[in-house]
Amino acid sequence: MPDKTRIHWTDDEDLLARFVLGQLDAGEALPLEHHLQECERCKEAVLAERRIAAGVRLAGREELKRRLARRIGQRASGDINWYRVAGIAAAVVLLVTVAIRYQWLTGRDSPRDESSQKIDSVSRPPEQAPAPQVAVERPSIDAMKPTVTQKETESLAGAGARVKGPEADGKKTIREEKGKRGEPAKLGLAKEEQAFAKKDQLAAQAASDAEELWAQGTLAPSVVVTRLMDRAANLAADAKGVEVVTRTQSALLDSATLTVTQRPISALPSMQKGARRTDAVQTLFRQNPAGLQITLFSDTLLNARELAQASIQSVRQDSIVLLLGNKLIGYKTPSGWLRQQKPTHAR
Amino acid sequence: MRAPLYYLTGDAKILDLIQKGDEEALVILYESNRKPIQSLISKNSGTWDDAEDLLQESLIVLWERVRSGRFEQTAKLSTFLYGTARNLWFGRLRQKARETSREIDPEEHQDHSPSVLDNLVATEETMQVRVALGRIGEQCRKLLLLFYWEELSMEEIATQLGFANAETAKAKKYQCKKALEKALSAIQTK
Repeated sequence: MPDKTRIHWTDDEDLLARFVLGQLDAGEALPLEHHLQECERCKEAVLAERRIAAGVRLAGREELKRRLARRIGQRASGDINWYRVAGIAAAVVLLVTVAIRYQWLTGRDSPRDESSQKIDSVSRPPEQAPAPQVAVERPSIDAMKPTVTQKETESLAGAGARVKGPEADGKKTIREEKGKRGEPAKLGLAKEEQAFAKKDQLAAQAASDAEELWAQGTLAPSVVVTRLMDRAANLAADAKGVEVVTRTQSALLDSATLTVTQRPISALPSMQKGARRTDAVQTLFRQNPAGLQITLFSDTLLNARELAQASIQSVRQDSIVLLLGNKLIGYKTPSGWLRQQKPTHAR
Repeated sequence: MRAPLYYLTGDAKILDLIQKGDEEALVILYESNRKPIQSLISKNSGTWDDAEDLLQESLIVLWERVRSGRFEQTAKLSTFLYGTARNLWFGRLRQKARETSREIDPEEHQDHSPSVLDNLVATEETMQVRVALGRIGEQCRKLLLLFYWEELSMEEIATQLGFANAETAKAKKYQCKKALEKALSAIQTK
């Protein structure tokens, strides 16, 4: 039993911190290390101080890394590569020169005929186009009212269609000339826009149904899988609220499905790229009524067999261990995040 | 007799900036060392993302060493960064090779060497400390970062944070550590 009456060197906060931070020279540190071998209380104090130092350092490194990534990003977006700009400008000048020369050699700069003028007037943007030779009669709002309701007007306008008006009475206009080519394209675009809008809506709906969590996984070497399973089982026995799940205990996990996929690191959203630890597997957990989806962002970690056989090795109140083939990945999760469902093997 | 003129070299200027805590020094080093490190990593089966990570980590190693007074300049900073990135990368490659070449051996049940779960738990606890650090006051957070991460002396901390003297900083550090331990304990009992 630890002796709490004696004064130990670890009671000196300053000395303890200097020991843990490696700021003592060998002559100072050696007797303290000897004392540690026979003093449980001191060992615990050193361990606790090491944890604090490691955690604070981890926080410091991550903060600096984030700040550095932000500075680098700002610098990259603010810099103008003048060599590149000069190169592009030179290329444009060259192209224009060649085009003019070509036009001159092929005689295209001779007086234009009427048809070429007509083509030009059609292809120019409306604000630059010369006044049309045929008068265009715009339908008045009053004229539209009796035939088209407001709702129909909106839907037609959205689809790029035009309301029938006086100009449609057999008169050929420049707008109609344009419409022949432009309207089918407009209609196609409108359909695409509608499809995109629908997709966005579905994605937003799905996002609201799912609970997302980004977590950094710590990879454990394969050689300890069996030991780890034993230790996890012991932990389960010791700690309240711990569930340990192995492949043979799948009955515990029948209530939901687990889907594990892998994507390359380059597919990470930019925000997550900045936050990514290099020694960890950046992972997206998504919970929805269909089950738990886990997406691992790694270039080299897994093969298809490992993905297909993935299973949750253990679930604690605030952590989860994933087994992938012979690899284990541990994740820290917000307390209770995974309590809502019990995941099972991948399918 | 005329006094000799001393000019700071590029590296000396950068080290001076780091000692003053100016992070712009890291951006300058990042830009001047990006290409050789990208080339090193891409020639050794790494990606550009790996190279970016390694360069940033090497810069952080340099920052920590200089700020804690443990940096001894024996070569150019670019050589230091290249060497650090190379060591980190080959260390990772060796680790990956070990992981993929060894299968699970039931005999290893008998192995009593420190379990990786201990490391995993240790990592979790470290993460908990990091979380707890975010739950204490801003001044305490800064003080503990300056003490444990940047390894500044109490005099330097007092100057940076505007305390009257080193003794005041020391007393404050004690309070902050207690606050951190309390926050940590709250996280662990949840």
